[in-house]
Amino acid sequence: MKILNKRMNLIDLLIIVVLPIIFGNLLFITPFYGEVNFIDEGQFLAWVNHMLNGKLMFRDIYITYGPLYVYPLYVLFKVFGSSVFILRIYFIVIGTIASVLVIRPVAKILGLEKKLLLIFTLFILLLPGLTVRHSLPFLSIYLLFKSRTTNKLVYSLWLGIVSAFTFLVSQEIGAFVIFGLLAYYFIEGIFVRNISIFLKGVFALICGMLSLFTAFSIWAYMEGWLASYVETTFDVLQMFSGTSIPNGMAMISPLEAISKIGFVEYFISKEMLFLIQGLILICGLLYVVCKSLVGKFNSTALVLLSVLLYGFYLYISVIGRSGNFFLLLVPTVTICFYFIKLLTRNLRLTKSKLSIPSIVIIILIVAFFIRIVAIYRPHFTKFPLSVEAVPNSKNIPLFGRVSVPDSQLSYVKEIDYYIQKNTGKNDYIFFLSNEPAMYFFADRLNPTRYDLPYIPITIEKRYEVLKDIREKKPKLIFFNNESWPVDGISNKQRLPEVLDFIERHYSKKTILNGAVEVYTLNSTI
Amino acid sequence: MKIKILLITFFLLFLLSFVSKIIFPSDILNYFPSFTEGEWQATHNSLLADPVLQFEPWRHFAKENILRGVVPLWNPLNGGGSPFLANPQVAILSPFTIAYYLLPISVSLNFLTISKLVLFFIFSYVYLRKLKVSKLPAVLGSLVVSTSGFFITWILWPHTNVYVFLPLLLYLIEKYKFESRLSLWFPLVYVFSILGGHPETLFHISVLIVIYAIYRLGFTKKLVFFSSYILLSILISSALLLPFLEYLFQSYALQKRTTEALEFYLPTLSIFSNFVPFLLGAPHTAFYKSFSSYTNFQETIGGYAGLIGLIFGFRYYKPRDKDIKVFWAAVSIISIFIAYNIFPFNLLKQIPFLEISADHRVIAFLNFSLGILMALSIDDLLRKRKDNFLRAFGIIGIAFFLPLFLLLFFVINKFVQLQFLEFGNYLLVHICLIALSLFLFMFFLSMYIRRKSIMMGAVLVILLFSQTGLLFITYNTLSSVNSYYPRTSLINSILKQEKGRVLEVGNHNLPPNSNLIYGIEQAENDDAIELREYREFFDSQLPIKNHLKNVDQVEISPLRELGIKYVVADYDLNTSVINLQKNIKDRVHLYEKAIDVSFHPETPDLAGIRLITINFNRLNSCKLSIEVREKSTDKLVGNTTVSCYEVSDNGFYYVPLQSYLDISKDYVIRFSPIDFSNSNSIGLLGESGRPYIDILYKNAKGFKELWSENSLYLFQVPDVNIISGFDNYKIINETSTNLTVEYINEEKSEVVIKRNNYNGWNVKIDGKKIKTKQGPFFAFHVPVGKHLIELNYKPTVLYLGAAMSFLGLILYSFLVARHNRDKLIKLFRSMLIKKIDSYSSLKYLTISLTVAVIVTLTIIWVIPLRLKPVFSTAINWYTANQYPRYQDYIYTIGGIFLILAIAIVVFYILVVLNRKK
Repeated sequence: MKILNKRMNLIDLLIIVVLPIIFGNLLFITPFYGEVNFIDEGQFLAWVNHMLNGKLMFRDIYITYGPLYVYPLYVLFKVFGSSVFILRIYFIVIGTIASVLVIRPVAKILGLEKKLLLIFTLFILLLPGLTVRHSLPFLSIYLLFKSRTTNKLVYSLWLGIVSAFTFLVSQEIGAFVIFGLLAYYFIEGIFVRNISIFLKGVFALICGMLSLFTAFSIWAYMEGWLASYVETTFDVLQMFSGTSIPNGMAMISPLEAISKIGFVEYFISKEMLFLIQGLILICGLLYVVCKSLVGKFNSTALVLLSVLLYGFYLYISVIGRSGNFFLLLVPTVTICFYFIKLLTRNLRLTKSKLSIPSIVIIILIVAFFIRIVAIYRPHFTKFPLSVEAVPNSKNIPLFGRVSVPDSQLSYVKEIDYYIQKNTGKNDYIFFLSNEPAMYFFADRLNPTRYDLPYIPITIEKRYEVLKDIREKKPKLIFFNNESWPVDGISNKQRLPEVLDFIERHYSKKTILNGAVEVYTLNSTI
Repeated sequence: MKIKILLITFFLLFLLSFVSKIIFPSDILNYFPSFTEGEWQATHNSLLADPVLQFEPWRHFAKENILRGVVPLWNPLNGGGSPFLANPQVAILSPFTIAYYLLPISVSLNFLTISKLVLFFIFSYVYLRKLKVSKLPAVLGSLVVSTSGFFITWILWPHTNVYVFLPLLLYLIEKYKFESRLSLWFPLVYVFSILGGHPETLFHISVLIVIYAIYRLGFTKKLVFFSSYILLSILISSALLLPFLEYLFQSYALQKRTTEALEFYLPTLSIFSNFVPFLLGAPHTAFYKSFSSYTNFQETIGGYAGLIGLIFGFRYYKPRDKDIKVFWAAVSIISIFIAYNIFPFNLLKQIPFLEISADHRVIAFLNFSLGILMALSIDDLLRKRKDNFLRAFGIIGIAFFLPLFLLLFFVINKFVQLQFLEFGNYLLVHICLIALSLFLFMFFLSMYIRRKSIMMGAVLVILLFSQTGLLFITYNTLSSVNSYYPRTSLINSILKQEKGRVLEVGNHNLPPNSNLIYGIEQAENDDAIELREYREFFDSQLPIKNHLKNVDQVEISPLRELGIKYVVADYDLNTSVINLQKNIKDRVHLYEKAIDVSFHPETPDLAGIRLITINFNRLNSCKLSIEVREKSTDKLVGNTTVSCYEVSDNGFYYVPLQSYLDISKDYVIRFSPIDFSNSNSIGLLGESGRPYIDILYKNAKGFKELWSENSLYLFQVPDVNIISGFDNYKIINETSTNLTVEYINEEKSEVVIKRNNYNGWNVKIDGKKIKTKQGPFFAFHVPVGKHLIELNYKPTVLYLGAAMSFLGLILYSFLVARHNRDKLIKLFRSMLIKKIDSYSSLKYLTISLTVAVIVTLTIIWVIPLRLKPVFSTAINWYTANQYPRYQDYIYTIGGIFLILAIAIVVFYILVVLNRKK
């Protein structure tokens, strides 16, 4: 709780508590209204539902995130019952508030003053992509700053614990934090004068890391999924950094894009937003380099550099997925606010030659902010609907307090009805389209480890899916022709062996909701 | 200054490497009939086979893979597959091999050899200088150790990759004696010697440097630091050491060495080689004979340091640094005791590990210690200005020796038998050169002591060189670049066929490992270690071996068991082979008279006969008539004439003699020489005048003849599959470390994949790991239906070793950086810009960023990337559109780095320019 600034004023606190409740954080919208995202929210719903039905994380379920990102939700579902509402509360309230508590102190270290800090808080609250896993590196940066400036071992110990925690929440971000810290300590160790203090710090850091990793390993081992977790972690890191990545497309060449869609359209497109963020990061890094060249590299610059490196890391991981540009927003917006702070200081000086350039740069940054907000304006315009939805309770119980559009409600009801009618509790069903949420709504188990069939696309994983289907013989197989084909590649194209098996051993029984093909098992498999 | 000299040396070396010839004995291939294409050619030095048949093919394979971005963990092309990285002799990360990867063959092979030589000379020189030896003795000492004995004869072997660093390690220890801390170069140099790729030599030099360190440093704190640096080096090298140990303990070599009584010591008589190196000739000269069958010139000459080295090395005097003289004198004597297996050091062979180690090669230390002792001794003479006895020795020696030489010359030419005359003269000239140069050296050294001049120093260097480098100057073969693994008709014929495992029968025609150059798979592996399980299985299936230790006779069934699809043979395999006389103890000379060998036919259809020919290491133009006649009537049944050009030395020669024989009669094979003389003849191997002869009768065994030329055949073995047990299958991916097969089976069956099942290989069916049966190959049961089988090589030991190496490298980098902390701080401070106002910095930043972005975009526009998609079984947007994902990474990451780099440079320039204004 030391992270909580005691002087945080009432407005700040109100904003932090109320805004997420009303608007959500734009990626996972409000807990009271809005269509359930069958992929992003659906995968969590499916995983936790499988866990509630006795499956084990990683061993029976292929989870692309860390165990500590999923397990708390499992606990919440156990305690409060399963519902989309709980899921959203988990992501929005807990996630966002925790994130704000983490990012704000870093912004304070960067010297943002009261008003600017308030606007910054407002911004990061409303930004999409602000999740616990993306904000955890800021906590490491904060602790690193504190350990460096105070030389207290307790900060190094906590730093070790937090970096291990980050890894257990998100493999790739945790790997960045751990390797980043090791690199930092390596460089620090070269130049530090008092090596014994430094070594104590390293020892505390390693103790912190090992303590959490050891506790985690014992827990995972006792539950029987430690080996699967290690294997899946390596697999995920390898898969998402290699050619076998499930999602992603080539970056559009600017010249080609301009000739196709026109200069203005391209300039305000998401691809351009991705490039602009790259430019912001480059500017930031250049600033730090120049600051170092003039001999002013201090602890604040170190924090700024850490945020920038984190930004670059996210930038590289988002290459080929420019639609996910919002994942970069936290570091880039932090950098932008830091620049605004520097530029507004110039404006206060009379007869400064920097006034005009400062105004120009601030305008450009604000234009960038406006463009981001404009992309997510539907979330604000839907606010009245959210107010209406609060007293509304027409949903099926599994939605909880979330009011979803009628079309989605009827879709879920129709499919669920069909599943309940044609299968028993112990029967398996399989969705070939990307609709993991349906395992949750129908409360049925997936015969395979993969709730999102666009993930197992390498031949060995395709055969693994095929083996599971062949052995567990799901009673019904669904394919929604209107579900989102990731990057335009349908799962029927991605899993040809599975499709071939379904066509040979299953029969198309009916079409539900005008688009969902239902396949039933032939008697002679 | 030192660095400049080193750079200039390397530049000159680099230029020297561009000569039209390569220091590489590719003429060794002439030894094999398939490479001489019907015309046998002599090799320059027959002992240099390993560099051609092992080290170069391995380097080539490693280079090919590394340049393709693949780490060569596994060699799939020899002996059913074998660990590659774990084989230390591959020396994949040796600094010398790394240079090889970057340069073309015509340059790299010369560079590799010359750089070793030059570095060894330099390292020895700096070590001697560290011992406070003056310049000329240091040059002489370095010359002795680098151009004679061990180093020069083993220069093409990985032994010298390791050995080259010995003087540098000694130099660093010596330096440590007088300084407070051991140089951080020490662990790096020791790592280089580990990476050199010869564990036995590494063991020898490690023992030596540890004893040296104890002797020089004493049991002090310094020794603790020394030990910790050794441990750090081992940690850094773990990625190679751990897989090697795993491979060693599963190797055929270890088992062979522990179960067979091998002789790892030098024959006592060969001690005279240290005085007169060409006592029995030398393999690169006209005459050569080894001291015994288990050793050769290369091994016995290891201690030779020239007569000058020997005499000056063992000269008695009171040295300036007694310790160092005592140490090297002890090393030289102990190395003699160990190498020649003399009591009490022969007891070392009772120690479990040492009994299987080729410790006779510590004779190299005799050469090295003599070089050091000689330099110390001459330095002592120079310091004390003692020249009288030298002059006396020199003059008396010359005066005495010249008449003696003339007398001996007369005696030899008058009394020695004709057949030994040439060798007698050869030996006499050799001894004369050594003795004369010794006396002249003494004489000129006395002159030098009186008046030091560069000219006189040069004369001494030349005289010393005449006893060392001059004798060995042609030891290593110079070949034309064109002779580097030529594409023969046989190779072309194999490459035209479907891929498959090849076995050579009879003669060596595609020797194991040379196949790596051509990308052909060979059933055998000529590796010093070799996988035990496969080798035992191979030997049990094909037990009939010949004097070349090659498979001699084969049947179809065992070949199928081994997955061998093609056989290269020196005779027609569709025959039955009956041996008439198998002993090959003597040479059967043919130039005096015709030889008759009688036999009784087993079946009527004679196909031909098979002999072992001798070509006396030269090109002969004679002919040999071979006839088959009825014994009783002398009626000619079949005949042929063999040209002496065609036959190789010590190889089989198949003579087709298709005839119909009456099995109730006896026959005679008659060998009649045509145009034979003492110096133009061939012979046959045999015993007591009876040559080795195989009689071959026609027998259709089912081998399909694909190609034949002279005494060389290529056969296909029918119905051979590397993968068996499937009804229908498709190979999805096949690399050296992965095999992915999709199959459909109607019934449950056992699948056998004829690849070596070694630690680190995993088999998965539909993504689930399964257990395989015991045996050399992969054998397991597969379920019915359509499934996917994956064989992956993921060696845990290697990953563990790699992690340890990474940790070691981090630790080492940290130590180096921390050691140079003050220099780094000084460097950063020198780069700092003293004073700049906010406006200027913003202005310069804007300009530099704009310039950087424009330049980067222009570069990207002018040089567009066109990468090829990487193979993947995944079906995603990239593979569906055949788009190389890494292209975007290169553009983005490269672009960011380029923008940053350009912007920083421009910013810096702008600031500096502005400051000048």
